[in-house]
Amino acid sequence: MPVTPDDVRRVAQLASLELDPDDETRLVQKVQQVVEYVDRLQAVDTAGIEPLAHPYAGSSTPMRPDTARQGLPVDEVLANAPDRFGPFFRVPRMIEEGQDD
Amino acid sequence: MTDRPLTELGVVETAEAVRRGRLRAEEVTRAHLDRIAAVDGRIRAFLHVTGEAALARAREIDEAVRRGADPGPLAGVPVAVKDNICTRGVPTTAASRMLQGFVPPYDATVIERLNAAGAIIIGKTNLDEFAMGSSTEHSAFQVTANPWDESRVPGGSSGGSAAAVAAGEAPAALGTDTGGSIRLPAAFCGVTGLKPTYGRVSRYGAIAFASSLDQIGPFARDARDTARLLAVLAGYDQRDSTSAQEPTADYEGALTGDVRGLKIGLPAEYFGEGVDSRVAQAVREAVAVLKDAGAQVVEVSLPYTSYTLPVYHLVATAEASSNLARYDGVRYGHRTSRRVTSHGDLIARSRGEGFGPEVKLRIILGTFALSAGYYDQYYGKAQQVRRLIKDDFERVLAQVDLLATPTAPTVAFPIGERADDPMAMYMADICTTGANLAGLPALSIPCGFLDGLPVGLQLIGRPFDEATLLRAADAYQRLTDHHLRRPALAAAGAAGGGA
Repeated sequence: MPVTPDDVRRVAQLASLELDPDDETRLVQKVQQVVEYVDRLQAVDTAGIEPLAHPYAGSSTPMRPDTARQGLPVDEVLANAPDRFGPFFRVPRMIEEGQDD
Repeated sequence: MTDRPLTELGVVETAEAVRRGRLRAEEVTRAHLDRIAAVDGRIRAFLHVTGEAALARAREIDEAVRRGADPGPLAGVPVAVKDNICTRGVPTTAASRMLQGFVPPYDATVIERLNAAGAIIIGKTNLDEFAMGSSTEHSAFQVTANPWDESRVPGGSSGGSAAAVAAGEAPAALGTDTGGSIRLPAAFCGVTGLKPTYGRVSRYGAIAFASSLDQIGPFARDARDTARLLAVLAGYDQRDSTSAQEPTADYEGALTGDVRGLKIGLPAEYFGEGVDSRVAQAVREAVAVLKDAGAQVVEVSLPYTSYTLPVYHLVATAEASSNLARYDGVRYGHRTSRRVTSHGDLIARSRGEGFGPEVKLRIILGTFALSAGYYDQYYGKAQQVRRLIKDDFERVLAQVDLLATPTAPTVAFPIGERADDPMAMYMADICTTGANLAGLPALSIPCGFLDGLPVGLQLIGRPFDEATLLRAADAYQRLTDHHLRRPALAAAGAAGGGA
């Protein structure tokens, strides 16, 4: 399947990933290469084969009691935040004109 | 207690000497810090060295021994930890600008277990960014050199951990393995590396790449040391919902040296196209050693082998695109300093700046495979073929106790040779991704040298039967000496002081 710059831009938008023009050119070519390679799967007859999502081989999915536990202290968690305001994460102001919904 | 340098002692030797008070954890730790100072400027295995904190911890271990307490089965053993495993108060970056400066407020379960067993976390090791790669060249910070030939890659993605163990900077290390990221660098660096069964070791605190594939495991210089480490790491953890409640085994006790009657399967597909014939030959010779010791060897077939790599790349990238969605520039990680006009901009720009080229490629591929119109054709198809691959392994492992294959199709390749060619790089994983897709335990041990570079033998076993893999690996190491060879670097570093 041919991969176009539009495909890469559309997927990057879905992935919330800003690409600069150099990224884009490089990615179109590389994505094309990998897609061509994985396309060999189309030759496998998988009619009636149940998809396998994970290989968990344990006898059953373990359950744990639903009991309250102490979380991490707020200050420790927020220590890695790019910006904070008291006990909150802070993001840049970005309400746009006319956005009142 | 010995005239050998402390950096040449293994895990079991070190721990037993420290426990008996014949060796102080502090001198062991200091010897390894000195070694790191002497050689790591060339090897670049470490992103962070804990230094004083490691020495303070070592003194606690020594104090416990003086009081008559037993610090545990890893008493005084320095352990290097791949930098995608969270260490409380110690920077953890996944070798990504996205997480530069991130200091976890908690320890991964494996770190808690190592600490409880008396181990000393000596530093954090380099990797391909977010563990995506096979050479450690995709690190945002540095390229790690192979201690056997500094112009070559150590393999990846746990290249820093494997190189550290090979270079004598630590007797043991932790890695993660999603498609071969423990076994491939173990092979390229000539050390022992184990990817346990999916669910065997808790992943709580490991930075997620592909959740149906990722597994944490140990590196050491031989099977016995690896068994000691696995015994500490393995076991149920209620904080990881994929952690298995299966009983663990006496891994060291399983090392009887006896392989009589053990059935080893050689899958024909792992010895053909794409595999260097000299590597294939070295692996066959290694299997012959086990045969001479009484194992039975049979040819088997895994017909879907040629589909493992394409399935892996669809499954792994799809899961990665989902796992990496958490990096949004809001709660932790990189945030753009450019002016943004919407929340979407804030996220997209932060991600565009924070992620490196290989991570971007994989996010694009994974998002593509999951997107409307392509889901059935790519992700859905890959999941179906994944079942066929798992069925292949189940059928064959009903007939044999374990499989023997090359770990990698070649020996370590030169730095730069494949860095910009994704398909050439991905080919390094053709022998390893199957065990991840099927969730099976697999290990790599050195089984010879080609042009002075180590060759890896991979053993793949039944779910939760790491004991049989370790028994076979240990039996092989009792009969051979490849695992005892050290890179020439060892001599060069001995005189080193501070770099």
